[in-house]
Amino acid sequence: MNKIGIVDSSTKALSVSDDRGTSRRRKSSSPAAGAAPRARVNLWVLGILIGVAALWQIASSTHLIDKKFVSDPLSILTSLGRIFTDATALTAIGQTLYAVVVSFVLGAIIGIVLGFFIGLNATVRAAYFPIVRVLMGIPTVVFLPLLILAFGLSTTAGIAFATLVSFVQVVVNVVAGIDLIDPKYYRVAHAFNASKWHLFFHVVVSGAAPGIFAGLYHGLRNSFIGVVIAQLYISAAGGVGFLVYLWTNNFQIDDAMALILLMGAIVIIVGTSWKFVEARVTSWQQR
Amino acid sequence: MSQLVVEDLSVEYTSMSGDRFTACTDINLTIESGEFVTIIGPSGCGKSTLLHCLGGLLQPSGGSVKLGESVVDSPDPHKASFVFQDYSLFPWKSVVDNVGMGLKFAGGSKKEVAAQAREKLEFVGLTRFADRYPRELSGGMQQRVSLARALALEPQILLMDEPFGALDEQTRRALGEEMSQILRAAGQTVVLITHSLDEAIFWADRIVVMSASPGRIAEVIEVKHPQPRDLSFMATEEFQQLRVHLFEKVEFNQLQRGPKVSA
Repeated sequence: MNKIGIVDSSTKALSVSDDRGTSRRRKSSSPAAGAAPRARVNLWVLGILIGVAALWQIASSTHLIDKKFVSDPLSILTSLGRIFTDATALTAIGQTLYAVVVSFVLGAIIGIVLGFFIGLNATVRAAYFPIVRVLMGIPTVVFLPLLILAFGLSTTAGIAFATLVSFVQVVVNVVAGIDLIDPKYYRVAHAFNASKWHLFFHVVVSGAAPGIFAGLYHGLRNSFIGVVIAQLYISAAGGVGFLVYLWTNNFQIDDAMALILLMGAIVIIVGTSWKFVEARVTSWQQR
Repeated sequence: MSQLVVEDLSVEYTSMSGDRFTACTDINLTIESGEFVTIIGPSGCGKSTLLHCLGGLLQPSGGSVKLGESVVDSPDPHKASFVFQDYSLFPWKSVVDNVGMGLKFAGGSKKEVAAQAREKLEFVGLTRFADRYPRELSGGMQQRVSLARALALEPQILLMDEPFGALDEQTRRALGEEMSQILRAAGQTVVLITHSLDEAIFWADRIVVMSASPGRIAEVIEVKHPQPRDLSFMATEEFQQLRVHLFEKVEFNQLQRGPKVSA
C-alpha cells in the first residue's frame, strides 16, 4: 500500500483531532474537582495526630483519665522501641504474618479460579454464585467455632477461617470484574479470529484486571482481619491477636497499644505498595 | 484478489419470545476486487446483518457468501477485516498493541507484529501516539487506529460499519475524505455502511440501497463519475440527482413508514 497524496489531509486532520486529544489529557491529569493539594492534607493529618496525642498525654498526666486502662502516648512510644527487640512480640508478628500470607494465597487461588468459573459459565454461576452471596451476607465470624471444632484449637483453624473470609471477597470482585467487560470486545476478538486462549488472556483477564485487583486487595484485608480475630479466640495459635489479648489482661496497655500501632504501620506500607502496583498494571483505566 | 459473491442470502432470527424474524432476504450481490461499495438504507433494514455475513461474523440462514472459491463461514481477518462504528479498541492495550492485535491472534512473532503495527500506524499518521492508551485519543484518532488495525492484516476486503457514525460533522468530513483517499490509493476493496446520503454517493463505485422489513436490496446504483473525486463532485448535477433519488428511496420512504403522530 502506498501513501500518496494523503500527507496533506492527514496532517490537517491530525492537528484538528490532536487538539482534542491534548485537552482531554490535560483534563484527566489535573486534580479532580474538590481534590486538595497533598501537602495540605498531610498537614491536617499531622495536626490531628499531634493534637490527639497531646490531649491524651495531658489527660493522662493530670489523672483526668486512668493511665492504667488507657496508657499514654509517651509510654506507648517507649514500649514501641522495646517491642522491636522483644522476642515474644517478634514471634507473634511472625506468626500473624505467616498466617495472613498462607490464608491470603489460599483465598486468592480459590477465589480467582472459582471467580473465573462463575464469571464465564452461566450454569456454574446459577448454581454457585447464590451460595457465595449468602456466605457474604452471613457475619462470617459465626463460622469460627465450627472451624475450631473441625481443626482444633490450632493455627490451622485460624488459617481456615481467614481463608474463608478472604476468598469470598476475591470471588465476588473477580465475577464483578468479568461482568463489567463490554460484550463488544468479545465481538472484536471474534472478528479478528482470536483463539480461546487469546480470548481468555487478551480480553477476559485484561478486562477483568481492575476487578481482580480489587478482589485481591479486599481478600488481603480480610485475611488479616480473619487471622487476628482467630488469634483472639485461639491462644494456641499465638500471634498478635493473642498477644494483644494477653497484654491487655495483664494491664500492659502500653505494650498492647504499641503492638497495634506497629500493625497499623505494616498495613499502611503493604496497602500503599499494593495500590502502587495496581495503578501501574491497570493504568489504562480512566481515573 | 477475488470477487465476493453473495447468493440468495437470508438471515432469520428467533426472538426470545420464539417469534421468527427475517433480518434480510433475497440478497444477491457481486463485489469486484478494488471496488468501493456503499450500503445505505433505513434503520432496521439489515445492513449490519449483511455486513456481518460478508465477514463471516454471522452465519446466514440461507444462501451463501463466497470469496473467490472459498465459502465464508467464519471470520478470517486476512480475507475480510472489520472497522466498527464504536471503534472497539481494547482500552487495556496501547495503541500499537491494538493495531497489532489481529496479527498477534494470527500467530505472528512479537517482533513482526510490532514492526507491522508501527508501519500501519505511520500509514494513518499516528506514529506519535503508538504508546498511548485509546482513552487518551479523540474519537477521530481512535477510528484511525481501528482502520490501521483492520489494514494490518492486509485484508482482501475492508468491511466498515458506519465508521464515522459516532463522530461530529467536521471530524467526520475530514476523516472521511482522508480515509477514502488512503483506501483509494491502496486499491482496497471496501464495503461501507453509512447513514449519510453524501457519503454514500461521494465514495461509491456502486451504491446498494436497501429497504426494510424484511431487509432486501431495493436498488443498486452505479456512480459513473471518475475517481478520485474531490469536493467539486458534490456541486455537479449528477451528484444532486443521485441525492434527490436516494432521499426519496431512503428517507422519504422511512418517513411514510414511520409511526403516525396524532395531534
